[in-house]
Amino acid sequence: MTTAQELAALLARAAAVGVDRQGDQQGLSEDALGLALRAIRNTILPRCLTIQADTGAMIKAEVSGGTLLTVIEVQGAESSGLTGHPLRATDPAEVSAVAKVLEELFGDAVEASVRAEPPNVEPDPTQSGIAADALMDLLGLAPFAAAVPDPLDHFQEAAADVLIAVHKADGGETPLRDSFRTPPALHDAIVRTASDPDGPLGEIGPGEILFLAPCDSADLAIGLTNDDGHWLAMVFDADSLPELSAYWSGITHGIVRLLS
Amino acid sequence: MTRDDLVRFRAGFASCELVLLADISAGTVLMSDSAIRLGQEHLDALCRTAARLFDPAATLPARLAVLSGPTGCRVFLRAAGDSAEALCCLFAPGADLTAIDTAGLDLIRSEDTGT
Repeated sequence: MTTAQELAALLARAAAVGVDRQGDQQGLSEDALGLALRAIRNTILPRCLTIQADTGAMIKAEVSGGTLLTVIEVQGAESSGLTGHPLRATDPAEVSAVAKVLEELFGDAVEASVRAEPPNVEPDPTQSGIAADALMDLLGLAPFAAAVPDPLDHFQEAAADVLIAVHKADGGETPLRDSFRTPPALHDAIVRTASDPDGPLGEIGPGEILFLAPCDSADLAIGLTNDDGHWLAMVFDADSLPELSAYWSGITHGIVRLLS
Repeated sequence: MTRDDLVRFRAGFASCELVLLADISAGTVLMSDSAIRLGQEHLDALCRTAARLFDPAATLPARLAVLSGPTGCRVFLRAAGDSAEALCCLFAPGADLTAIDTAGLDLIRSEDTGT
């Protein structure tokens, strides 16, 4: 059984892995641009992203909830007027300028890498930023709804930093972190709750996830889905509950095909 | 807590379209504030959802519940495991919920202590 000390160490390791994620990808120039935009789109928790192309072009920006908040530094494209201040989706000229910079940075690139680090400052909740979806639309790239056939799979991938285990009605527990097992009492409570026809699962509407912060667990939270009686429960770091719930509603809002 | 407290609370969150305080043991909406006037049946439906999510007999008692989906987030909080009162909020899709836990608890605990 996982002790509280083991869990704390596990979460600390998971957080360290999350903020130092780096991926090198190779492909066509449109792939490099798509990679950059997908990296922005898939960033749920506040992060400072550095996206670097093999051409030497680079952008460093604060990103949260799939939204570009502030451009910190640009190398390889003219970006005067865009760095160092909160970006606004309500300013079409600014949105176009950011899209143009990204196209200039990654339009000729073959390879690109992404590094995620903790943000320098916590994001201002009143700051709207520019959504990756808006930039993709402007650049003529495939919209999220067309490019991602399974939103829940995408969500779990995007939340990999903080996702600890997945429980299914017909598949038991799938731990996603070494040596972690959901405490038996919590596991039992999850199964009984999800299996109760009169329980909270009945409140989950089409395309919805029910996020719960249990009274008896300060470190863990649960995300429940219900696909016609086939439930799935995600166990994740409790601190990320607000960001995950906001991100899910944001991505499902733009999708016509919903979970049913 | 007064209705003005709810008004100020909702004003502090961008994209918060509704906030209500409910007595989930009695199934009663005590007070509410919203961006547009909603029919009582919508408020009662939120109250019923809160009662189901915070059922005293629940095998997974929760202090915070969020139903998140394509039309936004329905957020439910209660101050303590045995509290009869719950705060219910509606947020637009993608709204920032970072501070809702702390701010909501402060508000609902002020109701419990009469401050």
